[in-house]
Amino acid sequence: MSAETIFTQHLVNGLLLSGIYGLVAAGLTLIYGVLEIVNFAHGEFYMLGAYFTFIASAWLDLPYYISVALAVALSTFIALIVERGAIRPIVERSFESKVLSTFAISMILANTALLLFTATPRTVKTGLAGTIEIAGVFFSVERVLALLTGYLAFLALHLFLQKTRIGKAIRAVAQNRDACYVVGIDLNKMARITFGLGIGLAGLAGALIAPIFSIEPSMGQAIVLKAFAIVIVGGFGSVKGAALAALIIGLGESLVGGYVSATLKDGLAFLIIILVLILRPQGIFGRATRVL
Amino acid sequence: MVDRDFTNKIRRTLIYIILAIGALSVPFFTQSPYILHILILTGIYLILAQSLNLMLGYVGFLSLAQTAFFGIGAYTSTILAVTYSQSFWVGLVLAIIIPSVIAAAVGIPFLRLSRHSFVISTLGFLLICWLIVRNWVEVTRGPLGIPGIPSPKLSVFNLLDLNFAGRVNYYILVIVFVLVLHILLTKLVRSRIGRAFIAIREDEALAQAVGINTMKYKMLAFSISAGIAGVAGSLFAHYITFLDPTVFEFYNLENILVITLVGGSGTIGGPMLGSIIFTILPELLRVAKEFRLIVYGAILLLTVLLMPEGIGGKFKTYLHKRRIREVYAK
Repeated sequence: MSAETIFTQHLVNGLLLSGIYGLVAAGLTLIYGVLEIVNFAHGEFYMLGAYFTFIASAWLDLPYYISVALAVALSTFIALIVERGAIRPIVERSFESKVLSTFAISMILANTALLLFTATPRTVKTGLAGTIEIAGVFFSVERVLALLTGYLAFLALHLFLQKTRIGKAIRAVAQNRDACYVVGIDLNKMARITFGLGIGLAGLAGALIAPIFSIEPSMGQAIVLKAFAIVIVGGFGSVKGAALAALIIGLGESLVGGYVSATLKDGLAFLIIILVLILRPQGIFGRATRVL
Repeated sequence: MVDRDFTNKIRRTLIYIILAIGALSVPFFTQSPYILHILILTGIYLILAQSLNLMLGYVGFLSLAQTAFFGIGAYTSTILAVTYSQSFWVGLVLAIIIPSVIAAAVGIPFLRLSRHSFVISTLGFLLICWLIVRNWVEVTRGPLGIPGIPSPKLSVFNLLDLNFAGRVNYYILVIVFVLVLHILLTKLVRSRIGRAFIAIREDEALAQAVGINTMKYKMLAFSISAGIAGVAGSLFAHYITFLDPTVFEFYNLENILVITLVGGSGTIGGPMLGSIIFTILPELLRVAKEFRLIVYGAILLLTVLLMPEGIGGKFKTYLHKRRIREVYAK
């Protein structure tokens, strides 16, 4: 393989990773913006999305597209239950309570998955055969599909937040809660929608990744830290910042993993977290409007 | 009338003495290796939980790095004992110093951050430590782990020659550490320094406004808590006699969070109660580790939702209310 093909491969894989990270991080940052909760259980919903896809396609023999839709719907449904039972009661509490509450949810979900599915890695077969050529390199259809769907979902999220009434209300809550009371935005409802939306995105990311990487109960813990890194780099509560940061971290990991070392690739996100927090606590793209 | 505080103090001291004698006399009643094993681990987890308690309960900063300091302490002590054939005591001292120094170093940037960012950066720190230990194979042997960690020995000239290899002896050793820590921590949190910690927890800006150098006290608390976690790590490594990177796993973190929170953070007795409950509970729930963690998660969630002050906190409020009633009755 020539140097160029290798580079193309790392580039496309990096873009795929970026898309997936972006979806997970966008949900995390939205939930932070509206509910002021750092959702430690976010990765577990990504894991659930992947497992729901696995159940639907491997056990129920449903086509891949339907499995993905089902996975997103089910993760959102579970998110709404969790929101009702464990998030709403603590919205007004201290930051530590919020962290511990979501940490407990993460413990429950991750270990339930471990109990039900065991630690054995699983794979999802989509039945989609064939490859697609990009700049002289061949990629599986699943990979390209995940990449495109990821970016389309991100575009849809952007349009939703910018153009629709509910999207605007969500942004309003993230900017100024008190003003929302004044103009009559239902904060509880916005919190519920945001939580469901954010988790739905994480579930979608899990469903898209399911046929590409093997899935296991600990996959949520691995990604949530990367999503934290992205949210920190992009600035808490900023979806645009998260998109840019996801591109940097996804591509960075893929290129560092390909050209430097696999260990550094795993540690990259954590190093970035700590460096950014020390040098620019408001995030690279964030504005220092809110003291976090 | 005799001063109430004085009688209270005597009563409290008596309770401690009775508890101490009770704990130390366990081997007279049972020498069952199984029970002693459980109790030794309880003691070690209690020490680790107290290190979290100091940061979360007194200074008000949730540090997820305590299990990293536990691991660093364990590895320091182990490498000194196995690679450099040093005694347990040398290892123990360095297992206190090295985590404290690292905590002070990372504390400079971390403790300047907000409480949100502090939590996440301590989590990042934990994962970096995990990654380093797994990959620095020349020193830590990576995932293979380090076997054959010697048991602690204590010989003072020819007068005293103790070997802590047996379960009974190790149990006594751990209990002594627990008691010493208990006394020191109680003294610390009631001192001027402890009051500064609590002031930071209650309102950092106000604490600063009344002239408390908050950064200094936060650094102090973080270093002390790292040293305490290091002691627990060293005791753990020399008891299990085998060490691998799984000490950094989330299991330990989840365990001490549950012990501290349910027992009651911000009280010294709370985590003690918590560690006893969460030692007996898993034995009653003799099921798969995953199932136990689901139950722990549920208990943690319910505690946060319904009883954020923990059992210890509830008890403290009860005592406080009773005291108020008594004062009014007079």
